[in-house]
Amino acid sequence: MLNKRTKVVAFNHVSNALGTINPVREIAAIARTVGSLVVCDGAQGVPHMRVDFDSLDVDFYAFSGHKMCGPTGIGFLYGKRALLEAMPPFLTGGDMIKRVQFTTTTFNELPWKFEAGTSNIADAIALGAAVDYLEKIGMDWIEAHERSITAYALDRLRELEPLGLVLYGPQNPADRAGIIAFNLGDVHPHDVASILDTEGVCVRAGHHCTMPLMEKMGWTATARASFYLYNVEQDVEQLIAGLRKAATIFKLG
Amino acid sequence: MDDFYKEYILDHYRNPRNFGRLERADAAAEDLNPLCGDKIRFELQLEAGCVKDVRFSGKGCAISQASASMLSESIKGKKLEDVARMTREEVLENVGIGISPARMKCALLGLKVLKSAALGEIAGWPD
Repeated sequence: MLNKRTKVVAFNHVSNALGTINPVREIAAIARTVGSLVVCDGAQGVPHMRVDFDSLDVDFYAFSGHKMCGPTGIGFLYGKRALLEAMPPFLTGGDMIKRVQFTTTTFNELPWKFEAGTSNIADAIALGAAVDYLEKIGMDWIEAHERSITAYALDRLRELEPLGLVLYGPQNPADRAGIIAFNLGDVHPHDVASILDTEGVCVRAGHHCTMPLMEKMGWTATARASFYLYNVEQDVEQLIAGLRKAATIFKLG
Repeated sequence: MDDFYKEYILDHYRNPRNFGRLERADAAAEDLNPLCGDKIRFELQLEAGCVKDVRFSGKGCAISQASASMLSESIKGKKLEDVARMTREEVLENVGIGISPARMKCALLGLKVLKSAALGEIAGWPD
């Protein structure tokens, strides 16, 4: 797929469907061998670990407010200065121009060049508060906490394998963020989710916006449990109890 | 919720009635719910404007498959015009369990596909 005509290599830092932590630096280095730009989606990365853009060596990195305890409707785009300076504005409006004359226009400097019109001020302030909150707790603590609870959950979920539970994604907790995709026997993930719902456990079920992945792997859909800084081992217990209930209702095992 | 997955729902899920394809279908339609990946196809064989035989196929959750299975049982011998006029209330009553708003699309996917097959066929009939 990668050749001299490749202009952009775009991929996610952490897979929302499988939890896989991608080797961003290595992928970026391969992309550079054909002169491609490197664009990384960090919606599942930034909220869960310390991210150093320089060391990842990506050209662009995007992330989203509502995935990191912030509001919806706002996010960040990191970009290398030289690239951002070479790019034209994509929106017109107040603040993105420096000087307008009848025949010429001079655009403003970064970052205003890309911040046309009245900003989404309230959400920006709220996102700032979310960043402060996460920094206060500490990204290293959050990452370690997620890793430990994910490792615990993987162990506990494996106990259900005799009932037909199948785990997807990396088996080593060090290679995955706090996301565990699974299926339970022939029970459709939506049925699993409905039963877990009644047990006070919220999982997502379906394609997770990754239909090509589902098709490639031959999965109808998957259920997905995810963990963040507020989850405790008791939540894992509740998940296991809910899955045992689903297995009983569907007469598995 | 324990009532939600009643015995007959699971029975229809594990042993769907009229499941498969017809050798010769007079009317057919299929659709999917991209959100959950449920997919259903209905095929109808007609005689004198009535449903002589029916098959459905597809993949999905217990609710969508059981609902389609029960629907397939309920339409044999029915006039195609009556099939096209079936309402969601009839289907939900037939399914007989409380369906939460989040699962409504699952329960009604079969009806949507069946009506689309019926209406498509009727549209081609002479006045």
